[in-house]
Amino acid sequence: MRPLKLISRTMVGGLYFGRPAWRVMEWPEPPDATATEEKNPEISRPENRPQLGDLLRRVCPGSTGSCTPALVRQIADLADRRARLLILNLLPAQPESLLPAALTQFQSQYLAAGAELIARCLDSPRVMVALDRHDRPTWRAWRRLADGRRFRIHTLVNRYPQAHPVILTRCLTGTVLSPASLPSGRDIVVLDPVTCWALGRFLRWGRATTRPVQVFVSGREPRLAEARVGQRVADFLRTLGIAPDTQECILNGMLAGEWIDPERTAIRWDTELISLRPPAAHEPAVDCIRCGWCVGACPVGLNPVSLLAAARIHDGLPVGDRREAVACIDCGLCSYVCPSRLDLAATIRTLRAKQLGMAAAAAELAAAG
Amino acid sequence: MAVGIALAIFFGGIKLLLLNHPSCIDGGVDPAPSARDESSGFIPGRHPPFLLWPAARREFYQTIAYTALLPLAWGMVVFGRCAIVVVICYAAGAVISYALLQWLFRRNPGKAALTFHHTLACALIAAALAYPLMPWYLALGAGAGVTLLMAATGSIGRPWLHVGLLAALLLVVLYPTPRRWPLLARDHLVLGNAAHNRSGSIYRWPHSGGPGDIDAVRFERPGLVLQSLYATIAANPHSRPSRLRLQRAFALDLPAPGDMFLGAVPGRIGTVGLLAIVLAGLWLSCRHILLPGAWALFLLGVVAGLVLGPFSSHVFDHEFWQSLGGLWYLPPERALTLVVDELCSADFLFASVFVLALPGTMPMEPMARRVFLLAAGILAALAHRLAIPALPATLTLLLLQPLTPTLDVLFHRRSWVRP
Repeated sequence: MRPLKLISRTMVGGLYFGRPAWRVMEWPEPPDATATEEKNPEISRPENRPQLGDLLRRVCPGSTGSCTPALVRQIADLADRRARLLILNLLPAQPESLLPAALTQFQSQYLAAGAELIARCLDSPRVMVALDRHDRPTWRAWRRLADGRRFRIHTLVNRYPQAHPVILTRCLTGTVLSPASLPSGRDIVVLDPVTCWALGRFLRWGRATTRPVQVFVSGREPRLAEARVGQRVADFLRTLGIAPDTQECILNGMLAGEWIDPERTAIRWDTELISLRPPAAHEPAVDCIRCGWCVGACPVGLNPVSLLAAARIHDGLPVGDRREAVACIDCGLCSYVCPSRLDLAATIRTLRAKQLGMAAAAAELAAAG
Repeated sequence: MAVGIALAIFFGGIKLLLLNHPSCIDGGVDPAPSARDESSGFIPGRHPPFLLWPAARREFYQTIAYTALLPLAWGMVVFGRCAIVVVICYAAGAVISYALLQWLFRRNPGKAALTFHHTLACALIAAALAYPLMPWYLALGAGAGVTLLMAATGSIGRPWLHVGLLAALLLVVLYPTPRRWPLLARDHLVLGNAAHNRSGSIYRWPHSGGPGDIDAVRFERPGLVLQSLYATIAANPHSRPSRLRLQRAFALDLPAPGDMFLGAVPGRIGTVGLLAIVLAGLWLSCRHILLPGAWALFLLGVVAGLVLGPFSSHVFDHEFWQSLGGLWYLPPERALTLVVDELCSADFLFASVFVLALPGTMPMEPMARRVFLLAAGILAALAHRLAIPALPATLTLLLLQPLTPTLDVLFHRRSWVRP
């Protein structure tokens, strides 16, 4: 297959977000599966929505993006209602992610087929394709793909976490969602490109157990590979010739991901990025200096320091309302920018879990009473 | 002996204060319990983000300290040996007291609540506020005192008040600066007066001999020119000020704004070091340490206060409203001259760069920050108009600083996300 240039980021000392650079990436060779030409035109009718749900449970039962909710859940939540808007979210979920661009460049036929099938089945009058404004090759490819289809392309400046459904929906439609609820509650369905790709490829080839994963290794070029869902991460890395033993392994992005043990963790449907870097030095947290960077960085307008003060009495800081922690979308930007290295994101996450637990308990009490 | 006993009592008191200070006890945050399932391979105790912005607290103060050296170097060029001694003494005093505190708390390293670059940055800013002809022993003591006072009140752990800077500013007021100088702002190291470069200066600026002279500037100040012009207009309101008269007044009596800004015309308006301050501000803005919007908003408040302040001391003394109407006839380039002259007459630029760059000077909430900056700018301009005899902008910012937590609470921004 023809190698293509994609925008990537330079990795310096195991860290990303350096100067943008042009990298050459190739889509991995397809596994040796036989072509089955499995077409299912019946499923594209609105009345066959339950069959689409069943098919999705076979093809990709979970969420295929690190922040987009699973399509199966959204369809179940939508029930018989018509989706007034379908958003195909092609913005990179993490700053270092190249997956939407790679899928568009290399596997656009499956991506478009899956998206069109879902749009027909959900009987959505509008399909918005959200693209990164600076990713010109992807934009050109989608202009060709949208020709003759009901897709409408919207380009956005992709400032992390623009791809989060709460922010994306507000930006495109003005609809304000709750991070704890599904967009389908407002008759909006947000599609992850990997879901469309998996569906389109299943209809074509009948394969459903692999997904594309982007692998970053410190000091090397980013790579794309198809990983089998359920396979151990360490085994997957070894098939690529990477030894994960002496490195830190982080799943789904450096800002909002998870630190994993590759020997004990399996590839899941929402595993889109695996990053390996040398062990980083730990900087201890010190007192807040009230620089206000976290307040300026928060994309949902929270004051993380006041929430920190609410979680724990902190001298000299205004105490915020604990209930506001529920609005956090867990992007990790507050901890990322904090020069005092305060663990703001983890504290807010704990506070939010407590608040949601209290709300659930209150709802249970109300239901019982 | 008596000095030794006094020092022991002083440092003992500092140690007791520090050991019981709440901000020293609360060093950080407990790591939140992991919500992940450990059996699935997630490592507990490791939370995102796994990447940090490469500017820690250390870099904040380090950058401020190094950029403060730029205008100080300019001041040293102008004022020569005396200024070099003052700066070195301030820095040495701060470093000695810092080392002493570190030694005192060698068994409790977390209790000292000071970082080296924070100490150095505050000492250098205090030196920039100081009188350049200060005796060396007083500068040494002031540098040490600023550091000890910051440590005693919690330093970074109690960030809503720059105690050290406030003390340095009070020292400027209390120090017996020659009373015959009409404007204290002219006599300081950054916004200095070239008339002080008596001996040892690297470059000989033209200057006058005595305080009663016009300090090497053969020009009238723009404000005074306007005052006389508008007084004439007020006396005869039916006659418009002709463009020719305005042009002539400015062309004959005033230097070009660029010359004033670059310090080519020193002395009367305290332009020494202003270009260095602007360069420092640009560098701090590039490093995201100083918010460019904050800088601009404060100066906007200053300009608004200068223009609209009815308590004029030298521009709109008489017939304020007629004079305000006369601004309509002022050509834009002359208005720029006027603005530059006003900004250079006090410490507005210095405060907007170095005092605002220090974390904790402004509120954190965006709306509170805007209100604070505009109010501080207007109040600083009014303080300047009222001829408050000590660096009006710095003093205003430092006096308003304790209000920042209250402003944060008052102007708290609700998240747009519906819980």
